[in-house]
Amino acid sequence: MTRSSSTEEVVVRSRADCVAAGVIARKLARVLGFDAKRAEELGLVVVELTSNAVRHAGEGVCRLSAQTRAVKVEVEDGGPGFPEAVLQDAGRSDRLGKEGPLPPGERQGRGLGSGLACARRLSDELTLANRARGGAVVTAVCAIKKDDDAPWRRKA
Amino acid sequence: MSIEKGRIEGVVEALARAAYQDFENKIPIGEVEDDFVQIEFGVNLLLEDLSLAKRQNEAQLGQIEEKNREIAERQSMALRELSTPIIAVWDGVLTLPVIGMVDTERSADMMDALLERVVQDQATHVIIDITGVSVLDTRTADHFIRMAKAVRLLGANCYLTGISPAIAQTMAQLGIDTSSVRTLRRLSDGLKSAFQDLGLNVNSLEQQQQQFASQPRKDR
Repeated sequence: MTRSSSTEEVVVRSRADCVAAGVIARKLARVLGFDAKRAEELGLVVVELTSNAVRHAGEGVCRLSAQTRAVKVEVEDGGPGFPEAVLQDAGRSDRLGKEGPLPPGERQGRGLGSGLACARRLSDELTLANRARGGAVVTAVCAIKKDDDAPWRRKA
Repeated sequence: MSIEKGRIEGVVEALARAAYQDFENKIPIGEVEDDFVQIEFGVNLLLEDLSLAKRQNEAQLGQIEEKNREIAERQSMALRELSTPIIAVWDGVLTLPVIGMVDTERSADMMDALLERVVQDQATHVIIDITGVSVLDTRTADHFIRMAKAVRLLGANCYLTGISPAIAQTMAQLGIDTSSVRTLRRLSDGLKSAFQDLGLNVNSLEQQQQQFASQPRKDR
C-alpha cells in the first residue's frame, strides 16, 4: 500500500487483501464526508471488483482517488480480460432472479455470479474495458450521494 | 620476486567482479609454481564458497517467498472461516451472527456453511442475526431470504433478526415474499421464540422462587 496526496494504491492478491481494500475505501470515504451507509456501499463495490481481479487474474491493483464529492475506484488486472458478452452487459443483468445463483457445485469457491451487477447498483458510474495488451480495467465512481436517477436504476 | 602484471590484474578483476556479486569468474592458474599461485588459489576457493553461499541464499529466499504465499493463503482461508461463525447456542439451536461487509462471495459461503451445519447438527431452529450489517446489496438481501427458505426446506425453523431500517427498505423494495420467513427485532427475541418452541421455560431465579413460594405446599 502506498500513500500519496490524492490516490491510494492497494495491491490485491488474496481475499483478505480485497476485504482490506474495501475497508481502506470505506475509511477514505468517511474522511471525505460520506455517510456511513454510502461509505459501506463504496466498500462493497471495492470488494466486489477486487475479488473479480483476484479470481480471474490472481492479482490486481486497486486505485482509489478522491474527486469532488466522489471517490473513483479503478481496478486493473493482467488476466484474460472480459468476454465480449460481459463487456456488453456490464453488470446490467443479474444471474439472480432469472437463472438463480450459481449452484454450489458450479461455484467452486466463487460468489453468486452477480458481483458486477452489485457494483453497478451501488455505484454511480461503472465502466468496463479490456487493455490492448491483455488484462481488464474496471472504473467505478461512487458519489457522496447515490444518484437514484441513474439511467440503469430508473424503472422503465 | 617479480610478478607478471597480467596475473595481478587477473586477481584484481576477479575481486572487482565479486564485489558485483559475480563469483563465476575464476582466475586462470598458470604453470608457474610460486608464492603468488597460493593467493590465486585462495581467491578461487573464496569465490567458490561465495557462489555456493549465494545459491543457498537464493534457494532460501525462494522458500521464504513460498511460505509467505502460503501464509497469505491461510490468512484468507482463516478470514473466510471466521467470517461465518455458526454457533450452537442450545441443542438444535444454531445462530449465525453476521458482522461487517457482506459481499456476494461471502453470502454464498454463508449459505453453504449454514446448510451443511443444519444437516450435520440436526438443527431444529436457526437464527440468522444481521444486527452487525449496515448495508446489503439487493441481491445479497435476496440471498438471505433464500437462505432462510433453504433452511426451512431442511426441516428447521428459521428466524431472521436484527434487520436495520436501511436493510428493511432494501428488502421491501425487492418485492419478494418474506412472509415465509420469521423476522424478529432482536437476537434475544429469536432465542426466546426458539426456546418457547422447544417447550423450554426461561425464568429468572427470583421468578422461580416466587413461583415456588406461591405454590401451596402439599406436605402440610
